[in-house]
Amino acid sequence: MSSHDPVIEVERLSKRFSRNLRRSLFYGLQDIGKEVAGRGQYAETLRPSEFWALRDVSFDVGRGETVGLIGHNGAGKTTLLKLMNGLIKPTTGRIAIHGSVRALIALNAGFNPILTGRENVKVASAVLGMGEREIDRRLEEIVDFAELGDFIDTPVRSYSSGMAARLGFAIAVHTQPDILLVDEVLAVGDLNFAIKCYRKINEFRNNGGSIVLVSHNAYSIRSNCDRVVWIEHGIVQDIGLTEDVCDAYEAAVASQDAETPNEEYSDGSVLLTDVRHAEAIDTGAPFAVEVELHVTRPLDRPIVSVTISTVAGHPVVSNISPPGGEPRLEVGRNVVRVTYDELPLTRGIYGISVVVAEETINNQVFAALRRSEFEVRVPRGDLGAGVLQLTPSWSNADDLDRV
Amino acid sequence: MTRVYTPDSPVRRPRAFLRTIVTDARAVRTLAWRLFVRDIAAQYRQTAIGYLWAALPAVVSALVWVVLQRVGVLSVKTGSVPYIAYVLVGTMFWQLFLDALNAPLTQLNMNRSMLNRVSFPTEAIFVSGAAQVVFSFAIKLVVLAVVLAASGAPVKWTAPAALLPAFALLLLGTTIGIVLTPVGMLFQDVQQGMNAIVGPLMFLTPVIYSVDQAGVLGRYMRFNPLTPVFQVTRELLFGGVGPYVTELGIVAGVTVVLAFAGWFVYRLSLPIVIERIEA
Repeated sequence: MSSHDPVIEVERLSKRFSRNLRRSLFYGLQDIGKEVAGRGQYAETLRPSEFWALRDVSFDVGRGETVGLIGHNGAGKTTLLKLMNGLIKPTTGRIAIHGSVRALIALNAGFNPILTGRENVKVASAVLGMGEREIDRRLEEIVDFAELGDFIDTPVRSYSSGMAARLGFAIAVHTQPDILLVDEVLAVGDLNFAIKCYRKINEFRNNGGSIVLVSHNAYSIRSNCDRVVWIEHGIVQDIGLTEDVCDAYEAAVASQDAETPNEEYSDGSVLLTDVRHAEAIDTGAPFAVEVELHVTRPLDRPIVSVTISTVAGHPVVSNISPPGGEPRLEVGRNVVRVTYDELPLTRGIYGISVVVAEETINNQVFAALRRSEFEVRVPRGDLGAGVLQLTPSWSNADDLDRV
Repeated sequence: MTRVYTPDSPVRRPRAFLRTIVTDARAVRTLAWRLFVRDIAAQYRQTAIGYLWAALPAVVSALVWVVLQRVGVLSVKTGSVPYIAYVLVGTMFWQLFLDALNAPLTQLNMNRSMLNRVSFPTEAIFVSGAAQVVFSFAIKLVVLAVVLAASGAPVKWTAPAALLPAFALLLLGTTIGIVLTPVGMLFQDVQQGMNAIVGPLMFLTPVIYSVDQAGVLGRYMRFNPLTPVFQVTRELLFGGVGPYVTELGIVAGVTVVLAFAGWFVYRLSLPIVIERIEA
């Protein structure tokens, strides 16, 4: 459905920026000169202190399609949005936009704190291109959507940041473009409001609107997009169906985090010589970890703890052996085995941390954080939100009553 | 409606360039009105004497010159026109010029956060800025009328026509302001430089004394494009200054040409400036 009727065509797009503020300002003068002289901004090389914020980016967005832009902070996503919005000029390449574009950004940054919410709505609506009559017609709708009640007639400076964001978003969502550019704003506001926003966006999509959704969060991309463009350091890493690209992105996120040095502490009495386990398992499968420890002195009522944690470092499963009980730790080589009958975790890369302590878990003689990692796989098509991957059965409660 | 963004300069395709300018200019009115209402409301809601602030600085500075004249530090001969009337016209028109000159850059800076987030006809910011200058000048005029009446100044029947040079002053100030915006948005030197220049510039302009009485300075004053504006204003109000109408015509003509040139350069510079400003 995309290539037949594209509303956005991006071809070999590049954009260079300078890291150095002073130079950037002087380049600004130079660029203004070129623009006025008719020479334009085209360039294939970098000037000193410059880097490619985007390099050779090509993709398109079809009518009615939702395309996700994913990548880490600083990957060039926001730059791409600004280029598509016509705010800044490309260095190479071309963007063609067929239809009206509106960037869905929280407009509260432009609010005047002294004026009331209602007055600010009128200004922001005009900035977004609404005419006088349209503003008057939509004003109540926007005010209702923002759920501010009587606050709408008090100065914006008395608003909480959440209220201001809600109002800013309510205005943006009520303009009616053909193409919507959404930049991770949906995290704004409480759950109730976030759901309302998603509904509004869905409504827009069902009416044939096209959306470019920017996020570094694979979950929001998975649940909203038809296709995904993955950008890193200004370069397109992958373009394709949401599932494929998000899988690749998440795997890369995990391996990148794995490169972070794992920390280890030892008072000399215990050394970790090896950690053995399967490299990857399917969710719900059994899993075993063997920890090989070298003990240099007799330990007083030793404790072993093994923790499985997410890439973000949140512990998911953590167990402590009873002090002085199984497993025993003798001077010399010990192999401790931890067996999980099943590990119903959601998809992702998990780390294994090992701690050895005497008597209480706080009295640690050895600790190794994220010493080793393994992957949990989940069947495709599953969203994989949350921490656990369980398969509940669904039924109606009143049917159960009848049984 | 299809929009294409490339590295090319719009100068290469003047017709398409003009078309987008005209399209945007049509959308300016609504937006400029909203910005104007917003800024005026915000500006005066936090003050006790409100709109009087529009006239007060010019009145105070006029009073300073009157005192200097009284104690004999200054000896400006204004014939039958009381000095307070003479100098208030000068300081108020001078304030009009300063307001118009500063408005484009000040207004753009105030709206920075919108500039690099939303694509909209930013000319509305200039129009709103000019409207605010006019609004504040209108308040000054009321004060001026009261002072003229109270001081018994011999006002000619041509006085209402002094609005024409006032308009020329607004246009000239705004134009210079717009011409300076592209570089001014990048380098703060422009704003600092402007602040440094306007002080001395006032003494090369017939604000507190006339060209004839400025001695050596008078020679240089003739080359100041602001001079004919002030001369014609006083001629229309009180007479006895002599015609500077030709000079005013030339200044106005050059200003109009410069205004369009400044506008086009501003349009071309905006995307380059936007990528360099923080929200």
